[in-house]
Amino acid sequence: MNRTAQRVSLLLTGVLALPSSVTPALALSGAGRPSATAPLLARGGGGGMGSGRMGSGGGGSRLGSGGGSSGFRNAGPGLSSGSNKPSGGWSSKSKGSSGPSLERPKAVAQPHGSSSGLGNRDINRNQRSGDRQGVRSDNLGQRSDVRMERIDQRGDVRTTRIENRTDRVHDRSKVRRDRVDNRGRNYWDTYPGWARPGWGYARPWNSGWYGGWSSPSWGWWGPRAAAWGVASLTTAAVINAAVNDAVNDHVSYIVVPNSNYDLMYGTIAPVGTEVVSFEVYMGETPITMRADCRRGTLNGSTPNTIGEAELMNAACQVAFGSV
Amino acid sequence: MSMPLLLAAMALGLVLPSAEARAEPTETLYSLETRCSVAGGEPEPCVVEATKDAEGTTYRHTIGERVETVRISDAPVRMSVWDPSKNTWNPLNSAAARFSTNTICFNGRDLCVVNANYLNSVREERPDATAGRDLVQVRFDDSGRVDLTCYDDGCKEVR
Repeated sequence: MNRTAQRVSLLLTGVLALPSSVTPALALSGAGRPSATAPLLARGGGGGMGSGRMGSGGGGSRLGSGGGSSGFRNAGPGLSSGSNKPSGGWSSKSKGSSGPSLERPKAVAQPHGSSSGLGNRDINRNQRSGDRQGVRSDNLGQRSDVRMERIDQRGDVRTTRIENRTDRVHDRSKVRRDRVDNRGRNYWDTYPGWARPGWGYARPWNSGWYGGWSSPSWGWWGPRAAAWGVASLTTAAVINAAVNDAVNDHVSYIVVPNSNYDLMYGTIAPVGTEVVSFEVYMGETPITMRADCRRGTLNGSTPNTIGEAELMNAACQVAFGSV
Repeated sequence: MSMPLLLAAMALGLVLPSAEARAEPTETLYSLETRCSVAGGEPEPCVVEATKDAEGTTYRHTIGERVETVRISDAPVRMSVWDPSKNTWNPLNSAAARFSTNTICFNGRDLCVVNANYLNSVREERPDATAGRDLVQVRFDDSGRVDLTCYDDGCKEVR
C-alpha cells in the first residue's frame, strides 16, 4: 500500500474517532505500517544477515557498515561491557517501582505486530468487506453498459497510461531514494540507547512531570481548543502505546493523530529540563522542531492548528511524560 | 643496564613502559540508585557503582550490607564475579538481559538488577545484535568464553 493511501485510511479513522477513542488511529499506524514501511527501511538501511540481524527482514549492507559480509561478520554476543556513555547520558536513579525481572511485561506487545493494531485492522477489514457486498450488485448492472464505452476508450487511454506509468516509476524511485537517504541517517538502528523496549524507564533524563495542556497549564489552551472544536489531546496512554508498537515493529516514527506529521521518536532529545528537540516528517520533508513543554510553545510560538498542538503534545509526552 | 645500553635501547624503542605508566586510571562511570534481587528473592534497594579500568568495567552492587561485584570485559566478552573469600574472580556461567524491564541478571537469577544505564550503553555498543531484541541471554564455558548467545524466542530452544 502506498504512503498516501495509508495516510488517507488513518485520517479517516481519526476523523471517525472521538477524542477518547483516538487509539485506533495511532495504534494502527504502529502495526499497520510496518508491512509497507519495514521492507523499505530494511532495503535502505537494513543490515539483514550481513549485519547479524537475521530474521529482521531486508537485505544488503547497512548504511555505513561497509560492504560484503559473511553473515557472521557482526555476530557478537549481544552483551558488552556497557562502558561507553550512551548519547542520552547516565542516570543516577532508576525510575519505576518494580524490581528486576526477566519476564516480559504484560503490557509489552509481541514483536512484529501488536494485538491492538491487529484488532483494528480486522475491524477495518470487516467493514470494508460489508461495503463491498452491497456495492457488488450495483456494479454488475452498470458494468455491461460501461464495458463497450470502455473498450473504445481503452486504446486511447493505454498510451497515456504507459507514459504516466513511466513517469510515476521515476518519481517513485526518486522519492524512495530521498526517503531512504533522509531516514537512513535516523534509522532506528542508530537511535539512542533509550529508544528501545522499556524506553519509558530508560530515558536518562528527568521525566514523568509532563501531563498535557493542563499540567502544567498552557494559558492559550482553553480559547484555542474551543476554536478548534476539541476537548482534549491524545492521551498519554495512546502515545505510549504507539511508541511501544513502533519499537516492537522496528518502525522509526509514530503518526501524530489529527495531523500530517510523523514523529521520529528516536530523535527526541531534551534541551534543558523543559524543552525538547525532535525531528518530524511532513510528507517526505524532514523538519527539526523544538517544543517548550511547560509553556506549550512550538518553535517559540503557540500552535496554530490542532495538528501542531497534537505534535507538541506527542513529543512532550515521549520526552517528559509518565509511562 | 648500563647507561649506554639504556640510551641505545631507548633510541630503539625497546624500553617498555613502567607498570605505573601502563595502568589506566580507574574512571567512575556512574552511581545508580536502583533495585536488585539476590537468588530470586524480593527486590531490594541497592546502589550500583560502575567503574572502568584497563581490565574492563566493574559493577559494584551494594545491597544492604552485602556487596556483589561483577566485572565485564570486551573483546572477547567475559564476565566474572568477585569471590571475597578467595580473593579471586570467578567466571560467570550465564547472563541475561531483558530490555523492556531494564534488567540484567548474572548466573541465572543469582543477582538481578534494574540498570537502564547498562542496557542503554549495550544498545549503542551492539546496535546490530540488539536491534529489535528484548531478551538476550549469554552462556559462558568453563574458561569464561561465550559459547552461546540467544535472543527472544530463540532462548526457548536452549533451555
